[in-house]
Amino acid sequence: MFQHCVLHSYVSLLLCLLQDEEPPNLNDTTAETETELNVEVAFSEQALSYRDSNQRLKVTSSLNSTDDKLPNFKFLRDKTGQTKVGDLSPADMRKVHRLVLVEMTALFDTAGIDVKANKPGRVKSKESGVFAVPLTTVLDQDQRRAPGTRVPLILQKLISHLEEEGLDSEGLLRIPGSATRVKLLCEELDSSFYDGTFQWKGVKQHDAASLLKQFIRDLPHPLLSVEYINAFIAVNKLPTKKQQLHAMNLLVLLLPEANRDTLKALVEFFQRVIDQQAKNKMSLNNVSVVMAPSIFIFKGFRSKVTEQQELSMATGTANIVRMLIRYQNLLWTIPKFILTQVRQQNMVNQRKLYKERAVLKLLKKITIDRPVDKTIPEESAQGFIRVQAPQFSKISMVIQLTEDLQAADVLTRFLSQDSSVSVKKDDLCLYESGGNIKERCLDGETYMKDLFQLNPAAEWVIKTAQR
Amino acid sequence: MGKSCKVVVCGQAGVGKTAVLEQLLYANHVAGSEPMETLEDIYIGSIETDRGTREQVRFYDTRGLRDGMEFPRHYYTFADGFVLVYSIDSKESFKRMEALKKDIDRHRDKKEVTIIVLGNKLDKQDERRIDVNYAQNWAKNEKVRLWEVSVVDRRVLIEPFVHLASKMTQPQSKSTFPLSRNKNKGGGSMDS
Repeated sequence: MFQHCVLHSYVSLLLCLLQDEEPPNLNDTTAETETELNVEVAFSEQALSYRDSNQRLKVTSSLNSTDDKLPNFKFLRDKTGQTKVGDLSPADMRKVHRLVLVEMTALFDTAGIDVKANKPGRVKSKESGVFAVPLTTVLDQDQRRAPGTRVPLILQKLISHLEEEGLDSEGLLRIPGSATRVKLLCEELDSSFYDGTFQWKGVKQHDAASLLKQFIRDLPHPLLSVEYINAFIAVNKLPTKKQQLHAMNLLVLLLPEANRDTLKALVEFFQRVIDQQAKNKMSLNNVSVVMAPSIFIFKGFRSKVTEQQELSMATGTANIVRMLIRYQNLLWTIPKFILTQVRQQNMVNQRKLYKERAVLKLLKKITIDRPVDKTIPEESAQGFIRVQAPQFSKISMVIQLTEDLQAADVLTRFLSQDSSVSVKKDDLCLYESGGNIKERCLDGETYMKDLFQLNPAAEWVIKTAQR
Repeated sequence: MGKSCKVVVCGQAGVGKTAVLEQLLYANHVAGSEPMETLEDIYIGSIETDRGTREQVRFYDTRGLRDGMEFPRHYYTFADGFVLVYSIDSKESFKRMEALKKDIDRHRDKKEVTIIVLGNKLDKQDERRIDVNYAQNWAKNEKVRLWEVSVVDRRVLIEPFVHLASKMTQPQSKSTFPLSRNKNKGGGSMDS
């Protein structure tokens, strides 16, 4: 049996620092400390070196699990920019998925945890209505009405209804609504949500909160997906908070798109509830404990698990939800080492393609006297990039690369000149396109020069963000 | 939509090439605002010609020339029209403009290009260094149209560019197939 060892947060923090080869600063161990996350080295490698150093140092420290305070984590600043889940093209996302799956398995392996992927069993479910309908079916229905919907409309509506009533009501999400009313509302919503005839006005806040929980609980497949829900639960067995965070990061990336987007909308909402905790008394802990059963117990689950198992799971699952909410800004991010591997794969594929083409050309007896490398356009060799904006009236702009030029500066400059652009800056994005990436929406703090060096053959395009 | 004409805007650094274009296209230029050095920006504009047709024009806003800098050759080869800009408060910028005109004539071979000249910064009358008559005489000799303009007043910018667009897209009046172009535009399209 795997020995469960929870380190005191102080020690784990110190170890995190040691691992990152930063001088441990004793003044830095207050609650406000931020531990920097290294996303350039594979998570499983970090875990391995942790395990090794752990054995060397023979750390067997206090085991009480009163680590109620979650440490603050932040990313090491990456000059080539953060990559959020929606920033990459579907083609590159598929590569990310494969790489992340390998990494996740390796990470759990370092701790000797066996994560078996559950086979999605056949579950009988309704094919219409809004409750107890598969997530993808709900979204299909939604997209027919509002193309591009990523989070079920019913969930969005429930959330906005709760917010209209004010998130400061005491015990929000904790206090249940009236069971009979909720049952009635459920039926009504199933039949009339899409007609637009449903009367939201009279719906009481706590009833709406119950409906929200019910929506999640009634999903035929769990929100955290059949395949990975056990892996999510197993996250608790990893020895450090940092490794747990790494594992959750990978698992979030592995979720099907619909689940990932819906989960994001939920944790964002939970955070807004928590922001009002002075009034509604719903702290991070409270929201997590209250919501964990809805997220982890789904239809068809209860029959397999005894009541006792369920109870012992409660603390663990609450911890997972706590981390999902607390670290939501980190978890929906693609770690740099994964992206680096995607770039390498793309480069290898291109070279292969080029070779094949070269062979074809040879067969056609066409002599190739051009150099193999794609010639870099003249201007970029001199430290310029050409930014294109085919959608707008200012269609191209040559910009000098300087050390501190960031993606946001490029957008600002573009907007300051082209006032015919009616879109707001937030809706625009500078894309890295081509070269060793298919397409990537750049984070505003991306340093253009550094990224240019990473992907010299890329084109730079300003477009409205496709999110 | 047919192919768009390519117009290259060039001249000495700091004469207001970008300002002219932005005021013309977006009417948002504030006189005296901090100049930003252009490297090469491309704009698409649509101009109504004096024949009443709408023409799409691609403007190449080029890098302002400084001492010892040559104007990049490749612009000569693809441009259908040029906007030469100088500033009335700078003799040097006028000389630079004259040199550019000569270069264009030398490089254009037999290709038909339309050239207009803009003397910018008319709002700086007090600091005028280039006499109006001197400039207009030069233009007459060179057979180009010259306007003195100010980006403060957008209206004075319209006429030169309408003229430019009309000239560039002017149908060949001595075509042997008189109905081959603009046949549905009626008689007004023949001369301007």
